[in-house]
Amino acid sequence: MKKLIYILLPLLMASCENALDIVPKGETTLDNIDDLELLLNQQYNLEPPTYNLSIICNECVLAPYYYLPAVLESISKEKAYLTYDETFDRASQTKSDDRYNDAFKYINYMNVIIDKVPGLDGSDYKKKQLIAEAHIMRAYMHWIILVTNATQYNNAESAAKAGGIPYVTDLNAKEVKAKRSLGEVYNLILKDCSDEYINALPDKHANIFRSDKAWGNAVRAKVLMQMKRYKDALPYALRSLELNGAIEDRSSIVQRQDWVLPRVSDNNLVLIGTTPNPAGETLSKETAALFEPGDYVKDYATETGNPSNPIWSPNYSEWYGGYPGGVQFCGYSTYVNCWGITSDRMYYTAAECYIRTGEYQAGLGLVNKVRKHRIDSQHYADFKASNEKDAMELMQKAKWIECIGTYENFFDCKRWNSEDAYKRTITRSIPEIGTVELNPNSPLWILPFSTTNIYYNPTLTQNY
Amino acid sequence: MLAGFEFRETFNRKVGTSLLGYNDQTQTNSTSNINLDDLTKTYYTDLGVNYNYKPMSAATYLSNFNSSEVLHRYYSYYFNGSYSYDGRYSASFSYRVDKADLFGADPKYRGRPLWSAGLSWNISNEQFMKSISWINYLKLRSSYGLTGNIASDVSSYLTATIYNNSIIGQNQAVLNTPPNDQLRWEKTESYNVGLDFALFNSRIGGTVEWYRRNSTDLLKSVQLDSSTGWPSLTINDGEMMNTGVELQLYGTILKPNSGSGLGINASLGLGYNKNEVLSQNYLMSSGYNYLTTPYHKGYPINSIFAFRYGGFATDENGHQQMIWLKKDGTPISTEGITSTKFEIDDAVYIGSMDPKYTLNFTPEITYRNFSVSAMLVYYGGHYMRANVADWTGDGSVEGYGSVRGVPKSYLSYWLSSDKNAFPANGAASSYRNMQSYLMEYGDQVVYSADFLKLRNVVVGYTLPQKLCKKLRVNDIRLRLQLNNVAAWVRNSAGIDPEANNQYTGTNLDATMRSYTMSLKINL
Repeated sequence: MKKLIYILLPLLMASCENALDIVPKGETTLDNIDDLELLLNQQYNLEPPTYNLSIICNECVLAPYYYLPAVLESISKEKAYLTYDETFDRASQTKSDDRYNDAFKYINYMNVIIDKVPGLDGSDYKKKQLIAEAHIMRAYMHWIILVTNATQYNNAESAAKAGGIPYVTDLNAKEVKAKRSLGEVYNLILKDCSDEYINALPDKHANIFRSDKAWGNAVRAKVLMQMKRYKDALPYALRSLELNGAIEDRSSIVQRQDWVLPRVSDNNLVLIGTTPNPAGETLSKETAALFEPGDYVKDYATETGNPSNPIWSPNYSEWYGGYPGGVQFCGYSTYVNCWGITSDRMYYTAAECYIRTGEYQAGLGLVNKVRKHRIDSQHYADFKASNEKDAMELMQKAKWIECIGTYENFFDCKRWNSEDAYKRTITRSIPEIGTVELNPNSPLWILPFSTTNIYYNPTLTQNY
Repeated sequence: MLAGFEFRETFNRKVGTSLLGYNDQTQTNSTSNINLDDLTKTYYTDLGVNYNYKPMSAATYLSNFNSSEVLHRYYSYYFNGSYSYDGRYSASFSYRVDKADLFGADPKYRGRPLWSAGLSWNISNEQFMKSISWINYLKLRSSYGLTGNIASDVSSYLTATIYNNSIIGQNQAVLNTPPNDQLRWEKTESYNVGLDFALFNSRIGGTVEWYRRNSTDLLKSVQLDSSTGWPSLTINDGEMMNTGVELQLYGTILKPNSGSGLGINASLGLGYNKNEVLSQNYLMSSGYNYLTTPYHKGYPINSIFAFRYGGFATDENGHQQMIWLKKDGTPISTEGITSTKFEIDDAVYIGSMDPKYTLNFTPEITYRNFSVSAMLVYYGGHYMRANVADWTGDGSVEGYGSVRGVPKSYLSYWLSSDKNAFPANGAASSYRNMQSYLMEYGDQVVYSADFLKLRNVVVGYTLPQKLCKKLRVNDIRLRLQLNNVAAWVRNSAGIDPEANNQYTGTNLDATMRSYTMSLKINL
């Protein structure tokens, strides 16, 4: 009997040990490729550009639902951006930076995939695809923070000296990620959105949060264009359009009276930003003046549920924004893709690359393709130009309106500011204050790193 | 000798109303895959201009369709042994392992080994003690034990939770905590030496005990460079020691000379504890960080550190600013304590939140059929934050609408002609250098937490046997108990430390005075 106990006891304990291997329902140890793939189905959200970038480039004057007189009364970075006050200490007033933190959270997700997928069972095709998706999203997230928080790229030589951001490719959470130079980061971005990875993507994505070849090409086109490598960017932009050339048809607004743009739309190559947009954005008078007559949204759409109030509402701008003369967006069925890329906007990317490489009308042809779905037939007329300057002017004006609520207008301005032919000083008139100016070399074009992030990563010295 | 084994499983299952397309492992089903979110956005514009109807928000009911299942398993085995020789010397040993299914933990962290060993010497049974008649019982004992603790909410491995992505109707995974394979047990070693005694025909007895508990590898959360993708990480850092003495006495002060005579009994407990953080390696380079961390080398673990409050001042724009003092007394009102101006040296130590001394006293008087007893407690030598709400500045230019109630002390600012006599609130506080949430870190909200309380008084009366017999019952006892009878607090604001959150300084509900009356009849 005693012997039996000696034999039974260890056996009993061993079996109990195995019984403790419980994977709770709804949890995963990410030890198989299907669970790991779920990391890519993220509802990506980053702090909207309208909280700062769009104010700086004078697309709008206020963050959504802010009240202008209150902003002017405050001591805040919002006021500094509104009044173009370069003397204000933005850095110490930026305590935390959700956009930075969230972008790096997603970068970490991508690194998990890149780290784990190779060791798991699964088809080679699938594994390659997931790894490629992760590399390209990692590149894109870094690129967003780089353009936002670093200086504009001019050439390899100056970029090697200019400050950038960290480029994170590992999973070591305990190690501080050192800031790299602007040039280094761009090189790593280009390496991560290489042809090899683009080609490993599927032809058509599984959902709007997932990548396909149209997205991969679009990312590389945008990065190259931001580096002012227009000739190199063009084929990628065109390839992206070839794979997904969807254009949102806004003529239906006439009948619906509302601008209904769902999140699950064909033109979203990848959706980043899932809240209604540009809901609450108060456009500057200067932007409001750029709408073409016959614009389906401005002239036909009305407040969701209230057909008597235009969707770009002058009343709301005055009442809720405290900014007479502007317009505030009051549509709640519109989900403009603020941080992702849409095929519509890719037409403009390709268009500028055409124009900047001498093919003016080819570029405007792409712009017109989109405009046909933006302007009613009574007002629509083709854009035509025979030189770069005229073509750019037409394209810039139309693109500005097309890209409201997204990062694009800020990114474009920042790039153009580094080119003699296109740099411009922005003038903005503010009630009570008068006219304020933002010159192309202003430090305001570079956002500060937050004090919290600098505290835990001392290598993050400000880039301005 | 005793050895034992136990296995336990708990299972809790909740199922939503519909299990269409249910996936058991991920706990998701296709009901939640219906894009209810977009469904609520279906306006009349989708149905034609003549149809003006907005469907009821279905998304708010999404959670009703969720299912959940929680399964846990635990097992333990233990061994106790003791050996006694001649009624004088004894030794004991116990060992126990408790294991649980800690998800994501390295299997070596699932168990929680506990062991202790003790020796005792029953001095009163020694031959040489037989002659000392006033000592009835005397025992010296000592023990050593080891316990461990592991954080159950962090993982050694990378784990993720699966949710439904309502926009696309597919599942998505979200990472939980950073993988942390270097996490170790938090260990506590305890030693104690005690003396149990009974004297003078056991009229006085009690225990004196000295203990020391040394905890190493304390678990704590540290902030990370958010470029890593993670905001914080749990690590082992620091060592702490608790030393204390406890005395417990009971005595029969007056022995009733007959069954119904006057008798007085009392028990008294005294305690002293000293807590100190012996080491901590994680470096803090900002004053604010130092102020808010729980561990400070050389100080008790639950210490209150504070900035020195220096009143209010009006800045050049006419806005109220709070003044805090640097170590050398320099007043600062341009920046708050989250700025680099506030350095580690500027944070002052005020005291521990844990009581240093404790006392409890329970007298009991019996006379004839009556008995009266009471319980008196005293906690002292510690501090608390209190009345923090009075120093906040909630509200904005838009009024107080977004705030759920404000303290009535907010009125003082508006009623006073001296605009720096009280903290500004509402619109007037919008430009203050210190936001509301920082107010609890000032020394102006720290109070002594000493208190003395008469917790209860019990009066009992037993009906005479004669009367009981007439009523044909064995006995009847009447009992009246008063709880929370009286309290004395050692702070000017009159705050009851037990009706106050000592960390945040917010008010809690005070325990009310209560009366209980009972009648016990034994048939």
